Amino acid sequence: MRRSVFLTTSIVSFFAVFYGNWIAHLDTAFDTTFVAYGATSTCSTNAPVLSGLTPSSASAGSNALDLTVIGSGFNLCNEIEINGAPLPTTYWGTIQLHATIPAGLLSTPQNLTVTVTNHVGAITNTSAAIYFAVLAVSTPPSNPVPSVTQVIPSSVRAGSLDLTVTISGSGFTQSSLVMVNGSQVTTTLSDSNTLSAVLPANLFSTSKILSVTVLNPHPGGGTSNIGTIAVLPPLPSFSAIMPASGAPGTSFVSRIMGNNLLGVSQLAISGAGVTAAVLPGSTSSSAFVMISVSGSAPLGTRLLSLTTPSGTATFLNPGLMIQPAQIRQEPTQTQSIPGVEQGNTATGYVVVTVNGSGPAPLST
Amino acid sequence: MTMGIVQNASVVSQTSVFPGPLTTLASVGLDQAPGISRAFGLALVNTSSQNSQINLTVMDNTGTPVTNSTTLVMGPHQQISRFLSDIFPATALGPALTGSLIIQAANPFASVGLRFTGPNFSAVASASTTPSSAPLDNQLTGCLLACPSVIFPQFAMGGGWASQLMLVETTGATATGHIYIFDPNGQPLAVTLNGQTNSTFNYSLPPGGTFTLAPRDANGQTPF
Repeated sequence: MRRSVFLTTSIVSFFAVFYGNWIAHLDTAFDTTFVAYGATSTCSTNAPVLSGLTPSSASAGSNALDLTVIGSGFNLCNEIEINGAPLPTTYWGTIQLHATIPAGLLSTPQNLTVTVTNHVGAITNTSAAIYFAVLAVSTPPSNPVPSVTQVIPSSVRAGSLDLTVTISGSGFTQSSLVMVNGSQVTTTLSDSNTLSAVLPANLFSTSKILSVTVLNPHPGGGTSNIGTIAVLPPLPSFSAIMPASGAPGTSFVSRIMGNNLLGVSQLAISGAGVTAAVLPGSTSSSAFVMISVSGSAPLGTRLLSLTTPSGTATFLNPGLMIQPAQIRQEPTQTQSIPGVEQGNTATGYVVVTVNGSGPAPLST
Repeated sequence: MTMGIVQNASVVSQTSVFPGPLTTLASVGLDQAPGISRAFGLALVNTSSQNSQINLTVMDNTGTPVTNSTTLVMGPHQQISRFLSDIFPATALGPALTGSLIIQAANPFASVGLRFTGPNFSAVASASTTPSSAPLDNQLTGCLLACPSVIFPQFAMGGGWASQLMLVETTGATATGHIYIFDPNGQPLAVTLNGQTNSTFNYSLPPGGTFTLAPRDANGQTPF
């Protein structure tokens, strides 16, 4: 094993001569003194004494590491050994030795045994061991690949407000994220088999199928299989019908007003003697029906419900009133109206408000 | 709205007056020939709460102005109803004129034209070129906030004239509201309609219902 002396300037030629002399002396003398730039080292058969290591530990997986062994009684005949294997050693004086721990020894967590061996002729003395700790690196646990088995509810009506859904499956963690159509939504972990997620209302603007997946981040992790939520067409609503009344023995066209009325297929009318046939021309907000009231239809209010492909809506109040036909009297001949034919002409203009609220107009 | 001339309990002439769209630029066709009793009248309301300069330009049937434009200065909520010959010099209009009247202002206004042939007359709707998005001034509607409203720029009552307003509910919901009558200065004008003398009338319409506000004779009969 090659030994070296810590020198502050290059003295290679001097050292070569010196080193040769030292080798020659080793064969005959156990106690030899070397002088190099004022530093004195005497090979001794005494075992060196170790008091510490700098550093004293490293993380597993570290690169090669410079190690300083601190102790006493060091000399040029010393070698640092790790787990009994010698390392190229640099003598830094009687209280410090230096060596490089190769990366291979730092790959796995363990305690490395560090000793200093003194070789003088055939005599070898080894110090007591101290330990260099190769520490395990703490790594987060690997995330599982999530799996989705059920999304509840599995459907929602278009136009719905924000909705909290429950996702059942496996492999859910605190870091799991619910993705809807590829976008992250607010996610809450209940347990490893249950997540809840808040789906914003803008996802329900139109009827469609939403894909629901769970993403577990690295390490490990991955994206689950796809669950679905069906955004169903909105239910029809039924806000008004006009005319809302009819007399026995008449047929008339009525306009149904509401929302999501496209495709109205039926207007059901409670009670006997009144039927309705849907007319073409319905829009999302209007539908038209021909209502036929038989001459024997009982008077009173009828309940109405209409059916579209997405469902049925009921119009409860006030419904359709079957009432006797209004009796209109023969008009009398108009008489003179003093306020019209007499006096001066008052002119001006007229303002009509609709469903307005508030006081009468302010005086201008 | 129906407006007409009534003599001896009989209607001599009547016309419908349509709501005037709020606008800052409108045009209306005109045809006048004083020599054969053909005249053109204009009713105009400054619907804003500010003084307004309203510019009037008469063009012939080739689109050429026949005379200098005239500017009317109208106070807030004021109304005028005049014959064209009262606004422009008769010499400028000539013995016969077929063309159009352009009405322009910085503030919203409502207008309607009236064509007369002797005692008979009819309303001519003015076409809004630049509709105003502003709602009718709250001082005219009484609404604290903007509310749906319409304005009829011409109303006449007495001296042989009668006006009748008919409202029809079309939305399928009960409608309520107010009808306000104003004089040319924008002040409340009390008139007798439906047996009540007032400047403000309330209405409530059932879905699809109709409401008529009119002068009535002793039997409740309207003149039109």
